[in-house]
Amino acid sequence: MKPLHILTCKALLVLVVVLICNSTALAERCDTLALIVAQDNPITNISEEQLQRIYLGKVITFSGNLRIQLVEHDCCLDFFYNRILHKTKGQVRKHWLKNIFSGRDCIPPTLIRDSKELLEHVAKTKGAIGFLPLHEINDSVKLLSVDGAQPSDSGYVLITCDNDQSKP
Amino acid sequence: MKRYTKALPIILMLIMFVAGHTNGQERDFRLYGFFDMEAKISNKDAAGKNWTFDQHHFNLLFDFRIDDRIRVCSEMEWEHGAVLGGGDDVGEIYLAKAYLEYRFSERFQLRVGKFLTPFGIYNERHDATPTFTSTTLPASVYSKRVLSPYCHQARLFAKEGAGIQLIGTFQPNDWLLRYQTYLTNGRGDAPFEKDNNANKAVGGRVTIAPPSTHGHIGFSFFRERSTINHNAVNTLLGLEAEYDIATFHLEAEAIISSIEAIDSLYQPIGGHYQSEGAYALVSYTLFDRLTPFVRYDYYKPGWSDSYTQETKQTIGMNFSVTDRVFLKSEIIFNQTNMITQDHNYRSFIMSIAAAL
Repeated sequence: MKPLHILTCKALLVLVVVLICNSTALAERCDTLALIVAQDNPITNISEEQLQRIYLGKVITFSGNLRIQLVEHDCCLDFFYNRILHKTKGQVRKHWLKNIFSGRDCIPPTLIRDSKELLEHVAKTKGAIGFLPLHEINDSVKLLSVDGAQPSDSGYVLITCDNDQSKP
Repeated sequence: MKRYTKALPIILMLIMFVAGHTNGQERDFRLYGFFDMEAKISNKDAAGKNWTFDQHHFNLLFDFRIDDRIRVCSEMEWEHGAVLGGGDDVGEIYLAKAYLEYRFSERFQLRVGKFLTPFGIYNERHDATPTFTSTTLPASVYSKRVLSPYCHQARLFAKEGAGIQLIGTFQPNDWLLRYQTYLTNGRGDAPFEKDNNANKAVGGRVTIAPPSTHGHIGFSFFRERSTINHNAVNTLLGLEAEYDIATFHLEAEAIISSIEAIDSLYQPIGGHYQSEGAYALVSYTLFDRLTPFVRYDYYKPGWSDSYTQETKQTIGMNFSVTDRVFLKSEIIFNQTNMITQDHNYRSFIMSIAAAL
């Protein structure tokens, strides 16, 4: 029979490992993300709060009653969800299922795997909003600042996430 | 009715064909759905000691977008492996909702048709089990009850109604406020076709989310005078709260129901029967897949010919196989304080639920 304190230590060690694994599973490496909209979309800046509500389907229009169309690219989904929505991918997916089956007027994000295709889609769709690594952006779309900060600014919320420790 | 079940495969093929031709082009039609299957056992009585399989729900939800502002949404449900017609009816096939919605603006949307009553956290997605942490809805708020001595067993509030609803979202000072208010026929013999009394059911739900938080609080209200309760006035107030901290989730609801007291001739005799219910659920998700949870339910009836209060403790696990498929298991400890004796029993439920 092992002493009780050894068993307790082992149990605590297992618990710590589980919690660390759960935390590290949520972090990932990716580039600086740029938020993009069509050039003819009047919006130029967005707040983090607003972005969160848009990507959870709580707000469905830009100003001027312009219907929002969410577009996603799978390269940095986890990072975006963690940093902006403070949720895991599973939580976000479940949130959208709740929206859909509640009968709410909502259109879930469209996943576009090809970044060029995503750029083209955003460029020609006035209400579309999406995100891509900054180096993949061209002039066909407009970059959004977040809470007044541009992607090149140090205070930009989606700045490069190497060694990122953000967790939901 | 049997023809409906026979026609199901053909309907599905047609839907898939239409969806395949419209979804990729103009995105003006979207098809969703869900399926679930349960296995359960309880030690409540002799019959309950058999394992029971229940193909509980197969629902299809149609979202037609006529243009940027107008949409029609409907949901068909096949419940408990429905077979209707031929004298051996089992299960149910029914239209859970069918409404047209017009969006004037984010702050003002008009919905007309049949809709699930916006009351509390769950009622608008009443049967959509893939969205639940647990397999079952909290009994304290969503189960059927006998509210007073001469009333029938029914839900505390109408699950669905036919009428009109106004919906809107406001963002004053970064707060998020969403309202829903409605006017429906209320319950009765043919509630989605006609109103058999002069009183409409009225109600509403308001949810408020403060800035920079990951939760909300909400209030619901429902009032009707329906033939299901012999035209006694039934008023309900509900309070809800949901909060997320990382992968920790908390939700709770409380409800107070007050129904006018009537005599055996269904005449008001003054006074009310007031029942109360509440529950709280706590869960924590590990590895984005495994979600252990506990829930505590409490219900106190407004009158008591059989029991004075009921509690349920549910302990369970929800495993996300994929983003859309969930395996769940839970054990429910039921405690009912009977007037004559204590009556306690346990139930065990396993289920699989898939969102389509």
